[in-house]
Amino acid sequence: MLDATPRRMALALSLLALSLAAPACADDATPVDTTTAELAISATLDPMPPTTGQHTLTITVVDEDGAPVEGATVTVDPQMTMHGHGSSETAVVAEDGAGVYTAFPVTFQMPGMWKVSVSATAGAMSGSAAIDYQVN
Amino acid sequence: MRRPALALAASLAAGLIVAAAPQAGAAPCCMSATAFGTGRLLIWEDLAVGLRTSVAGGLGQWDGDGDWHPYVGYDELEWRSEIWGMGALSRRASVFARLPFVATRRAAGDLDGFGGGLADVSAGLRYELLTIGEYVELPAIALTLSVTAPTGRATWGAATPLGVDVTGRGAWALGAGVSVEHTELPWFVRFDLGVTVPLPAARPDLGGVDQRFGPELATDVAGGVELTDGVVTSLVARLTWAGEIVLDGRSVADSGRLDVGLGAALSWRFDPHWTLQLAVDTGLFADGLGDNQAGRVTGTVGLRYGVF
Repeated sequence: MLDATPRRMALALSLLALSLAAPACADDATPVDTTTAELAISATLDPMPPTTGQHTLTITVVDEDGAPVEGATVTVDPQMTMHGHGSSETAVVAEDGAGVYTAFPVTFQMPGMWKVSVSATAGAMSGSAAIDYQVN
Repeated sequence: MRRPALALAASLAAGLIVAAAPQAGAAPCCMSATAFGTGRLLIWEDLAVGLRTSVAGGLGQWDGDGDWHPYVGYDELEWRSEIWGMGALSRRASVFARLPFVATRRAAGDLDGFGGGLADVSAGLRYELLTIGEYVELPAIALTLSVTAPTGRATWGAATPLGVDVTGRGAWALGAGVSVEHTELPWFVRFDLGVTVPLPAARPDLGGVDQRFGPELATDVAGGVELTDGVVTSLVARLTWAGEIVLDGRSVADSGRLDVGLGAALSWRFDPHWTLQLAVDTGLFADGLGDNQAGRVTGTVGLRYGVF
């Protein structure tokens, strides 16, 4: 019992660190998990806040210098991971130019927490991001 | 067993068929596959068949933290019709099968969809260790083994924006259950406990990686009374817990589920061979009384015919 307080403090600090590091539900368009740094991905979902149904995801891909990346292969995969299934529709990605790509339909067929994974590949460079959305 | 006791037992069993009916309280992709389903069937029936139809309306959902969120701008209604049958193999053993069909209507924003089809069929074996009334001082005890086949359409096979044509989970599942019932004429109380273990299944939408739904534990306690000859009513409290999903060898955080609810059933054995069944079931729509689960109110109508 003598060392309970330091242990509790360590536990509390650990929990605090975890809470700071844990991905948060995105209420804006900021990716919460960029897994590689070669290509940086940002995305904007429309409409926001997300509701059940079809959405458009506008994706911007830039390289390490911040320059727009054109001609990239971009994929979008919405998953309801907590329920063990994905979307009922496959999003088609079109390139708009200047490093901007549009994915439609990004479909959430039921309310709940969804994770949208975006990946991009351009030549030898690649990048990915995952965004959590609470769908109502 | 004395004949009045036999008649009461038959009535109680018929009533419990609805009380222990599988919940329709989840979207087809996420629906439970409990070991229960045909309830307590008395083995002196050589054959019994039935048709059961449920309508479940979604009212909201519990998130992964157990917070309740009513649906806003989203409507969901699910019909589930099930043909079931059982046949006695011996005095204590019987087999059963369920052939369910699911139809779903969802509306959100500009989208409105309706679809459905064959859901996940199941079959099983039931063995009565102790039959009702076999020993006055002991409760009846029955064991159930079941298997559910992924005959429905999983989400990755959906062809509609709102996934209304999804009718199954896409995975085999094995189930085992035990039912214990004690009768004090005209009252009875029953306890059910079942475990369902889904088997791994490939996710074609994720490059074929294996996914295993979490094991599910379902339990309920029911109590009832025979009001008049052939009319039985019962109340049931239920709890279903499911472990986390394992995807490609790793647990998916917050994917476990919890669902509790209350139900009531009324059974009318209006003919020696025919029984009409009515039931309602509802979740308890408040924070902490569910987890990662849709909340629904379900009404059920069933008709059952027994041959003996």
